[in-house]
Amino acid sequence: MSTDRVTVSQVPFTVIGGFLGAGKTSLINHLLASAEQRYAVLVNDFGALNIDAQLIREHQGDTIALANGCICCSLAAGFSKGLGQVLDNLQSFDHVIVEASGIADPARIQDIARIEPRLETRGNPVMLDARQLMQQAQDPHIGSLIHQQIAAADLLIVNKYGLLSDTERRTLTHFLEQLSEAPLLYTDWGKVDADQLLGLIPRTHASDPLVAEATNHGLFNQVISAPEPVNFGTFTAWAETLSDDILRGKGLVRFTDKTGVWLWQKVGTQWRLTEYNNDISVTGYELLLIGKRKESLPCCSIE
Amino acid sequence: MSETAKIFVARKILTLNPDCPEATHVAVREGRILAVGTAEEMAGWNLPVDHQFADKVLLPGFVEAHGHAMCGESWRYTYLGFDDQYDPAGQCWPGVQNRQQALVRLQAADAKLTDPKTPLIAWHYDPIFWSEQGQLLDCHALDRVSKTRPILVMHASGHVINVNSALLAMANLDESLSVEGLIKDANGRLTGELRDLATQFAVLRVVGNPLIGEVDLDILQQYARLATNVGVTTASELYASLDDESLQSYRDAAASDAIPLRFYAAQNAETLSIEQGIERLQLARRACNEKLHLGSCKLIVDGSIQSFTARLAWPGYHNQAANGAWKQPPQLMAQMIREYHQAGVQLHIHVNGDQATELVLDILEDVLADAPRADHRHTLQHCQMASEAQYRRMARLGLCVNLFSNHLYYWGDQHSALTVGPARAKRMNAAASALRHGVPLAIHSDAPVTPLNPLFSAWCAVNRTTRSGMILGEAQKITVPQALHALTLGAAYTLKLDHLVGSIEVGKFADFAVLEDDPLKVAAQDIKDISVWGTVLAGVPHRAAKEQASEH
Repeated sequence: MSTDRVTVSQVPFTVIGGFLGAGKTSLINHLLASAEQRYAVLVNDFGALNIDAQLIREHQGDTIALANGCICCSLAAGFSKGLGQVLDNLQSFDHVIVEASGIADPARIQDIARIEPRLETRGNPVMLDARQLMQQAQDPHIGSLIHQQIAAADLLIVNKYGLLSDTERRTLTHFLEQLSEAPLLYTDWGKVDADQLLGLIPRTHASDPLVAEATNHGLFNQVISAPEPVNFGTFTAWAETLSDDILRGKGLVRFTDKTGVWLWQKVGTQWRLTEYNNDISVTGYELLLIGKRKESLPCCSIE
Repeated sequence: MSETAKIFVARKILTLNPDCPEATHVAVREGRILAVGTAEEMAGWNLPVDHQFADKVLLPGFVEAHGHAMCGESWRYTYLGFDDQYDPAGQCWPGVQNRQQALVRLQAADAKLTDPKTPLIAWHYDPIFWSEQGQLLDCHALDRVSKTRPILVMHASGHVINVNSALLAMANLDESLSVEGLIKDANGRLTGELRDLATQFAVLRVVGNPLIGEVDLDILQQYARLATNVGVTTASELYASLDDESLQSYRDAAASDAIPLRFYAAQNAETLSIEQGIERLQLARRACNEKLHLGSCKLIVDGSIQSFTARLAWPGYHNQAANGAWKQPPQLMAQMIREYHQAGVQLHIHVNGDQATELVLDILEDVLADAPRADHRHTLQHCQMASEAQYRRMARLGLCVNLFSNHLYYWGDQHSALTVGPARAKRMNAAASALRHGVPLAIHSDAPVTPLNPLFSAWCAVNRTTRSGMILGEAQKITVPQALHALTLGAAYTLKLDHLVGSIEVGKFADFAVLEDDPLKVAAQDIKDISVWGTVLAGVPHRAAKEQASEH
């Protein structure tokens, strides 16, 4: 009974994931204000949206119709009802965008487009709060959720990036590279180019033991940094004594007795150093560690 | 209302009133209790005496402090539950315990539908209790009922749906799809079982949205019938949508003399912004009257233990299942609790797992330090796994608890073997702990999750006996009087209605449960079997509907 699933016209379907406070609302405001296509946007709460009054054509119950052909539909009456209304009028739109709630798994919402022949699956962008992410990832209540969202993303949008120092930026990048192969996009105020956001191709997600660990038992992270370089022998002794609970490590280091900047990478019990671009603004070391137990993570500088 | 002032005589009246715990006479006027006591104490009133309850036992009308009007809707669909259950007309629907019985019932329902396009919808299918696990309601079985009519079977858990091949096709679900929750057999063929959002969304697009909690006058009337049949005179909808239409339905139901039930509806806060929610509650409060009580709010923190979606603290699920899911991000939950509390709203907070309980205790401790409020009466709902330390905190923070004791019977064996293991299962729904620590206690059914029936809920809390006959935690048993209190005055207290209902005292509403036997005299293991004659609401008797059991 397998049917041909490609029909004449399909409307692309994008689910934007991300935890509360990441900036999804800013992103949607930005999209609506600069829309060149007719978007149907499903949001959790349009009270928070900042739509220019002049742009609003009609405000009716759970839906706001905009002059540029977009509509913004609240999921207040339930997800099924809200999305059902949009599907009933699908011919009026060029793209359907769903703002996933902070706790939803965007991939499960994307499945709707895999089933509905009139919809076309697009990749899931996930928005992250640059300042809070590392803390959120080890929160006993939401840590596993954050890890799942990162693992399921086809694009990671790191919002509020301008608020970070150089060291924090590099550490955060190292952190995300441990958890996902998705491309990273750095931004502020949710300003993302619509083509980049909505044109995503879904990628194949390989299962990662690190993500499984995070989901089942939680993971902790720690950044060890100092502005002064460290003695090579001291560093290797430190790296050797790290607990087996520490699953991953990555970061940059300068030595007192060796020239250049070095990239340190640790996977399981193995670690290695490779030469890195010497021009980088690192004066000492900045090392990210991911471990199973908080107690196993070193909390002070290398001595 | 056709009530006239009169005196009811009963074999015994258990009042829950400390000044007069037992009586034989109760005088009623204008829907309220005028006097309660002995024949001599009534002499001065010179009112006609009504002897119809002379051989009955009266209690305060039972209060269901956590139910759902949806149980009035559920009987529009075909019942497939494992246990016998009574519909609003008092008809017993025998439990469905194997595929043959299920198919017979579905075929009978199919034959009654005249339009071939009308979906056939069934509810409360509970295959985990079926002994023949190889013979379930997959699409091939359902196709024997109809190859053309869409058939949708909802599981008792509320999380899984089974459909027939016709509905699979209508919903564009086929073998070529690879999506989560579309269950296939070993040969890659669809089984008709749908477990996740997307697949369920697809079939519900075709058949509509049964049992999503919307109310109309008929649903409320059916809810009231179910209530009357089990002695309930005040019942709650603890997940109400109070939009204009629903609010009108509640008003109409409350205004109708043919609907003998006081309604309490707590607004579901999930679908509104906090600002809208508070505004809606202010509007709703204006609709309150003697039979309609609005103004509180419901928040859901986690899922359910038997579905492994509750949030558990260390050591988590006994069978090593991954921890459950928050219904809202904890940060948002904190904001909701804070803002509703500051707006003066009473909160009913669903927490099943002990980690969810801990989160709410942490939030409330902060909120109450910043914004103390006397007599807030925020109530933890279900709260099935709270520890002794958590009960101590509840007491300090002035919280009430409304426990889901029916779980002990329905899922107690599963909890002991799979979800939380024997040690923690022993203190699930720890009613004795609540009383020991002075936490005001109610007990509920969460109908239609389990059947609305306070005497059965009392039996569960008193006997703590599982379906297989195991006693789950001797130390947490409570006495029959304690259980009756939890289902009357205790329940009313958590709804802030204890000054109006829940005991037989002068000035309170003349609402009674009319029983055929005395729950203090029968053996504790028999209290669930006491027959209910019906109720009295505002002084007017309403007979329970009773029909012969039959196979349909």
